[in-house]
Amino acid sequence: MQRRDFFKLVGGVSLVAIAPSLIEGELRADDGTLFKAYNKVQLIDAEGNPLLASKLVKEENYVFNYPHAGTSCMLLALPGTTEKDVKLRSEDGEEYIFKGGVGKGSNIVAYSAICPHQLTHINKNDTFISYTKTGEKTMACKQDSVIVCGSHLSAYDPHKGCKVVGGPAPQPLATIVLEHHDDDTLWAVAVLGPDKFHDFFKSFKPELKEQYGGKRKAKKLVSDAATTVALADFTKDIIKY
Amino acid sequence: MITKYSTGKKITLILMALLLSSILSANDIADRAKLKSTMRDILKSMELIQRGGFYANPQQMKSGVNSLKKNLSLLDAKHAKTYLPHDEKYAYKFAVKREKMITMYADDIVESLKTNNMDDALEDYAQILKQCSSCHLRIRKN
Repeated sequence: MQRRDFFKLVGGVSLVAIAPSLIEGELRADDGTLFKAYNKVQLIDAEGNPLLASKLVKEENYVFNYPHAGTSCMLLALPGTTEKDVKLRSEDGEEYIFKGGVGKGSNIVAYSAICPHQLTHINKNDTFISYTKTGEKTMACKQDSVIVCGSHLSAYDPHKGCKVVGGPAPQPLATIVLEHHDDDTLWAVAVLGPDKFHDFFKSFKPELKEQYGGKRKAKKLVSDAATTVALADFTKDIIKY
Repeated sequence: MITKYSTGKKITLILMALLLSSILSANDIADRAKLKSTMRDILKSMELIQRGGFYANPQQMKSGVNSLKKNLSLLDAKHAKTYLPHDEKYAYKFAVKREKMITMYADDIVESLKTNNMDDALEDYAQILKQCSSCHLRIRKN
């Protein structure tokens, strides 16, 4: 590696570590880091008030749409601290690092709710993908406190950057990079890991028309704020296996 | 309370139970045969859509869509519980969802053809195929 390239890489990675929201555009470092910054968006509740990290109910499956108006994500306050610096690998073999959760307990995480296996996702009518609480059983794996895609029984560990722990999924769910500010507010700033947004928009045109008024509207980037609600308030039917 | 039956009554009860189980079994066989037949017709409908796509024949694609939707209504995924294998009965909601998605993409083929958008129509066809294989992967398995 040339000295100039080395400094570029170190500088880029440091910037991401210090303040992810300062990065704009896509950063694919030579070491396999996969990071794409989007608009910095504050998470708010259904009444429009800022969502506070300390007020989140542990293990409640929250949903907000980010980075696009039609791409749903899960927000979780996990029962325990997440693991740090988890090495993950995309379907294409690219490696990236999950840095861990945010909040005082380092337990707050967010993930894209599009399963990379066959693009199962949360929508307003029903969802086959959701979080399985501690003590709750699933057919997908022996572990609890996991995100399960009920379509083909893939399971992801949200404590480890949604590493695949069961089923046919070829890669983890993409991480939504969060910032926790001193005033206890939460902000979504970027996507880490391989996302499936392109395939999603290509595959679900009729559904996006029905639910968001068209693909173009669904693709619009969220700006300023993202309403965050419990999954049960977002969708009519939560199907779990 | 223990009811005592005579030998004759016992034989009658056993025969009735055997008759009932054979009727149920016959119904099961008939249901499975009907399911197989409908699935074959769905495959023919898909072939019709594909052929229409290959030869850029919108009319043939529309005929395929009509045939597909007619056969899907016969399949009635809501009753999947009655014909799914015993260890897969729980997955009927998954089958219902696939049926809904197939109908949605089938309708979109017609919409795409109205604007002569053959690319979109073929993309919808590919998505229907994905829904079929997704369900077979989860439920049929062979």
